[in-house]
Parts: sequence; C-alpha cells; structure tokens
Amino acid sequence: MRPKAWALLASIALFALPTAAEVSDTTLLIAARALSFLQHPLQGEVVVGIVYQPGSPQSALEARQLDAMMEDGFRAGTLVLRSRLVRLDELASSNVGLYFLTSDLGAAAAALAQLNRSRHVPCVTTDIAQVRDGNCAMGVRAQPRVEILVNRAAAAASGMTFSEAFRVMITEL
Amino acid sequence: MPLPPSRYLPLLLPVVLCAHGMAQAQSIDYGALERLFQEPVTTSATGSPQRVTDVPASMVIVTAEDIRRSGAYDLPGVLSHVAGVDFQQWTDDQAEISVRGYDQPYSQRVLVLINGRQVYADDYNFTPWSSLPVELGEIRQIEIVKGPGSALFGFGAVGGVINIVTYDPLYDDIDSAAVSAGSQQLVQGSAIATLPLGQIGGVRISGGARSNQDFPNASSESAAADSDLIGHINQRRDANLDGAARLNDSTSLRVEASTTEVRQNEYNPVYEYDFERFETDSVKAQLSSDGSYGLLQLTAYANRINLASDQGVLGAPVDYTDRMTVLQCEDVFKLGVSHTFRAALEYRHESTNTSPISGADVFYNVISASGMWSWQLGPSLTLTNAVRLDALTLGRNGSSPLGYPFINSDWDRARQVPSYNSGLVWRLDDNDTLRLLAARGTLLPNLVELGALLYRIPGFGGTGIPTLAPTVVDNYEFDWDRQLPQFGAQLRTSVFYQLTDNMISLSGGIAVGPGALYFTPTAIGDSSALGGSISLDGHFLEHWRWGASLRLERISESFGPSAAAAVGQVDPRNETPTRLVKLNIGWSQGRWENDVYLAYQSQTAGVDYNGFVGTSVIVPAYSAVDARLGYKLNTHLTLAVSGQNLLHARQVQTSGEPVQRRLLATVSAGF
Repeated sequence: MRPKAWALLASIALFALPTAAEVSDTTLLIAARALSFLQHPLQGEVVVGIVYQPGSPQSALEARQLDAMMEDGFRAGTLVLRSRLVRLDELASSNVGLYFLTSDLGAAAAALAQLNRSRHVPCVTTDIAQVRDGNCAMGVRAQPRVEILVNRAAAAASGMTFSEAFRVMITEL
Repeated sequence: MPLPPSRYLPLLLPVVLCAHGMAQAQSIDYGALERLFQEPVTTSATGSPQRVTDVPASMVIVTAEDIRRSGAYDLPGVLSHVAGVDFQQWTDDQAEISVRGYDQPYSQRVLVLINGRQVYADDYNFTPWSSLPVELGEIRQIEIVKGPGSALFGFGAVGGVINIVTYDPLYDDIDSAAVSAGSQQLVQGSAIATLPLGQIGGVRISGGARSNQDFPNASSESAAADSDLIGHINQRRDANLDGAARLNDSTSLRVEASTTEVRQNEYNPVYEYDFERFETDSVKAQLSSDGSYGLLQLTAYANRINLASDQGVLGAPVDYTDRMTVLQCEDVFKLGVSHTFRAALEYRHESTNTSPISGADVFYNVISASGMWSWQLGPSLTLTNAVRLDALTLGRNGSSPLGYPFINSDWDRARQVPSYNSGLVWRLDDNDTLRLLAARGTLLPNLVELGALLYRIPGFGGTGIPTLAPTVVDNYEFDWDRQLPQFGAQLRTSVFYQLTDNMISLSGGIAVGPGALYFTPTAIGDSSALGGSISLDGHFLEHWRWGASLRLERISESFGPSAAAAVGQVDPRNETPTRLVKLNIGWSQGRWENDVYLAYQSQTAGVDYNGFVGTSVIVPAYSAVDARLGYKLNTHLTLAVSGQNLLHARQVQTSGEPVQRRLLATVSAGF
C-alpha cells in the first residue's frame, strides 16, 4: 500500500470522531497550544474566523459554542483568541488571523483551500474530513486521547510550518 | 532515479554541523509538549521526542508531584516507590536501585543520567546516588526505562536507564527552598532560584547540604566486623548552575555545571563497610536546533568523579579519579509522513588512575555511530529499530610495580561492540496498546576491573586485567497496557526474558607474575531471567489515588568454577527477590495531602564478608512502610512529616546492617 494511503487510514483510525458537534474548551485549548509550535507562532490577540454553514444545524451549533468560548478572549499562554463568525459564503471578504472550521461544511469548504493559496491564513478544525480533503491544515481531538493531524500540503498552502519536535509527535498526511 | 536532496541531506547533517557549527537551535520544551498532549513527554526511549504512551519501551515516568508526595529526602527513596524497581538500603545514604533484578551493592546494570549526561560512574560501574548534583525540587521528571537502552545510550544500559530531567531555565521559573530535620541527627537544606533574563533566557542556581549520623554508637545488633560504621558523620553538599540562552527565535544554548562532595558510610562491592568520599565536578554545553533539517543537538560535557576510602584494599587507602569527556552530535528528522530518523555520532574518552598503587592510568576511547528509524507501518502500528556500534580502544600508561604480570602494551586492544533496540507498538484502540520488544544491551567491564585496581603486599597482589570482554544482555519482551476509564485507572503488564552473557566478578581469577601471584577479576559465566510484572494505578472519589504492582522474576545461573573462587561474587539468583510487591494510596483535599507506600519483597540472600571469607546470609522476606503527611500553611509554605521503614525500629533488609526507621519533618517554600 502506498504511504499516502496508510496515512489516510491512520487519520481515519485515529480520528474516529462522533458525528455530533463536540467542541469543548479543551479542544480549543489543544488547538491553541498546537499553534504555538509553528516556527513563527501566532502571538498576542488573534481574530479567529469561525467558518460555519448557516443551513447546517450542526455547523451553526458548533459556531455558537466556539463563539461563546472566545467571547471574552480565549487565553492560551501569550495567545488571546477572539472570535468572528464567518459564513461560508463570506469567506472571500473575511479578514482574520486564523480560521476555525466547524463540522458539516461539506464540499463547499474547498473554497477555503482555494482562498488560502493566496492569503496563507492558518486553519484548524475538529472535522477531520476537512483535513483529509486538504481544506484545512490541522485537525485536533481532545478526548479520549489528544490527537493532532496535519495535512502537509494544506499546511504549506496556509504558510504553516511546524517545529520538528512537534512534527515527530503528531500524525501527518 | 536519484534521490532528491531533501531526502538524503538530513542524513549528512550531523557530520556537516559538527564540522561547521550550527545555524539555528531550539531545545525541547517539555512543559509545553506535556500541556499539549496531556501526558509526559520523553526522549529517553529512542532519542526522538515521544509521548510516554507511544514509546517502544516499558517506561515509567515519575513526575515532580510524585517526588513531592514521596516524602523521601533523596533520589533512591523516591525511586523505591516505583513499580518493579528493586531497592536495597545498605546505609542511611547508600541505597542501590536496580531494574529487573540483579541486585547487589554498587548495582551495575542501570545507566543513570541527568539531562542526558551520564552520572553513572564507570570506575565501578555504579551510581553513587548521594553524589548526583541535583536537588529534588528542580526535577521535572524521572524517566525509568525498563530493559536495555544501549542502542541510544551505549554501555551500561543493560537492565534499564534512569534519566533525570530537570526544569529548563529557558522555559521554567522554579524558586523554592526546603529545610528538614529528623532522626539519625538528620539536617538537610535545599535552595533553588531561577533568574529569568527576559527574552534572552534564564539561569537557575541550586544547592543543598545534608548531615546525618546513621550509626552513632555500637549497638547490640551491630557485628564487630562492622565497627567501621560507627561514629561517622555522613555529609553531602552540592551546588549547581543551569543557564539557557535563546540566541534567536529558534536558537538556544544551555550550559550546566555542578559540584558535589559526599562523605558517607558505604557497603562496597566486596560486601564490606567503609567510610567513603565522593567528589564530582561536571560541565556541559548543549546547542540545540529545530529547523527544516530536523532537531539537532550538539553536546559536550566533562565529568570528574573521585572516589576515595581510607580503609581501601587490605588497609591501603584507595583513591580513584574517573575523568570522562564526551562529544555528541545528533539529528532527529522526519522524512515524508511516516518515517522518523535519528542519526548520531559520539566520541568518549575516559580514564581512571590505578590505586592503591598509583603511577598509571587505564583509559579507553570510544567512537560510536548510532541510528534509529521509526516507521509508521499502518494506522496504529509503528516499528522502531535502533542500532549502535561502539568502537573501543583500550590503553594504559604509566608505571607498574616490580614483578607485575602485565606490561602496558597488553592493554592495547580494540573492540567493536554492537547493540540494538527493536520495538513494535500496536495501538489496538483508544484503550489498548501492545508492545513487542527485543534489545541487546552491553556493559563494559568497569575501569577497576580493567586495571585500575592495583595492590600488592608481600606474597600476593591484586589487579584488574585488560582481557575482559563486555557483558551482553539480550532482552525479549511483550507488554500490554490498557486504560480503564470506567475506573479512572490504567493496567500495565509485561513479560520478559533476559539472557546475560559473560558476567564479570571483581575477584575469582589469578594472574601469575614473575614476583607474585595476583588476584584478578574474572568472567564467571552466564545467566538468564524470566519475569513478568503487572501494575494498576488510578484515582477514585475525586481526592484519592492508588497504585498496586507485582513483579515476579526468577534468575538462573550458569557459572563456571571461577565463580566459586570469587570473593564477593555476583550472585543474582539469590540476591534478587522472586516477588516484589508495591502498594500505595494517597489522598489530597484542601490543605492536606497524605500518602502511604508499602513494599514487600520475598526472601533473598546476600553476602557477608568478614575480611577473608564471604558467607551467604539469608535475608527474610519483609514489608516496609513509608508515609508522608503534608499541610499547606499558605500559598507558599508547606509543612510535612514523613517516615521510612515505619513498621520497625530496625529491620533486616539486606545482608548488611538492619535498616533503621527514619522520621523527618520538612518545611518547604515555593515561589
């Protein structure tokens, strides 16, 4: 089997996520901490574009949860995350420092990948399918065991280069 | 099709960087990685940073919290509570730690390091725990690898590896002080201060002092032969400096220096009590790099370990000074998405003077090349292979006594010693992990055995010899770990089989010189060990924690006739308990914290040496209880009382003097 296929299988096995939206403070914290291992880490206040699909109850619920978590600024070390809700059809006009993709965006999330070829904005999500499809660079899972999945091609397109100490400890595809 | 440069350049980087210096560097931030993955992180299994649940090794990590709760005032006391770790208390301040048995005074089979710097003394192949230059309060974690680790660390890592990782002043601001007083006239103080230097980095200084008297008077239980113990005051002092500087966004340099001075009662490798002096000094510099070429480290350090005893050999004082210089260069890098590699080169020079007859040095140079390849074979399956080749050249220079059976050129020998570690880790699901491990570890004869020992009295003498071959340990193992989330617990099991080839005894051989007969070390034969362990630990009812472990081990010996002639011979079959049980329970709520530890070990035997003949002594099975009760006075101050061997005022635990009950009160402050 080709290495890429193995990596794909690995991502499926490691990130067998429940279909219901599950974004907790811990998930957001893990995502924020993982971003500190970028070779040029995000610092200070960062506006997070929570990308959601209004037509999807799951996506909208997750967006509201994330928005509430970051309402007063979500702190992780020196990083402070502040939210801005971004409808999928508003992506092109959004001006944020980080994208957080909610679940159930479907194929429409490919627009973000296209956008990032020119904008180079980091992206995280709990929807691993978006990482596998290359629409988002990094997927995180907090429970029952912290797992981090990085799509190298999407990361490169987003301008995300991670430290080697971090790379050897995560799953890449 | 030729490989693109990105595929092969990383393989050349250690050489290139050693030759031309490093462009960028950044050390591993253990704290940040631990907070991210919510479990301890280690490099002691493969050299690559890994989560402890991912390592291809049987590993236990003792955290700073575990150390505090242990109530122990020294490192062996902390390690004595660890599942499966063998512990022998010979005097108040000399305890031996072994992993997977082969217990003996001056335990040889566990390589001990501080931040990767060897503190295991090659003169006798042992760890003088009291002389380790570290205060308990500055330790982030103690990593205990069970089984050989020679493919990463080289000689000495045959039974296991213990790497003591301190806080990094680049990332961690630790300030604390503690004062203790207790039985056996114990007084101990410790202070740790970190000076942050803003974006530049930080400097931590630490030091401690201890004084106690374990045998102030002759007691009815003390044998007359052990009168060497009486009346001595054990003392320990250490001072340490640890500085780290961030040279740019991804560049850091860490410099460590230390000195220790210890005087204490000891039970030596030939089973005699002695009042010994240890002095150590070290300096280390490490430049680290994290970039597109991988995680690079260039390390240089020098150690001096002096061991002296007035009683020495047959009344002649011994005074060994072991000097070690080590240069290391390594690169950890990932190729593609599934392959992690480590490539490393190491040079080591080590020498020890002869003693009691001085005038010569025995030395060796070792050039080592090692590599590790971790391959993610499938979704949850990782195969890791590591190999190392140590090329050693032995030598001796200086004078010899008249009639000595050897000349210096007899030491001109070279050996190539390979070692390996191989591990298949299969994560079945979120709860179950299987490990299949095979490894070969190597143990050089110590420098005393290789010739540093040299004495002569009318009629005979004694000397180390250059012809001894290394001891080789092969270990085969199967582990199963299971998380039990419904009980807030985890189960760890292990079955192992070890073959030890060419064990060495400090005595038992004879060399005939023109002027005298010399007693020498000798190879006594082989042994094997079959064992298994099971441990459970977890939490319940919010405030409670607990642990239980059982280690079973049976050792077989295949010794030749030379073993019978050995005085103070190696006798692992009888000295290692076949059953080792440890239990602990603890509770924390509000300002209170309470922990109790119980250890049981089955009957063993040891050697009691009366100056001429060693006799085997039965050591009955025993149980020992340690405990600590802590009360947090305010956000900075904690008061604790703790005790060791609480069940008996004096208890036979070895073939030496009974171990005494010890009580301790400690006031500690953290800022």
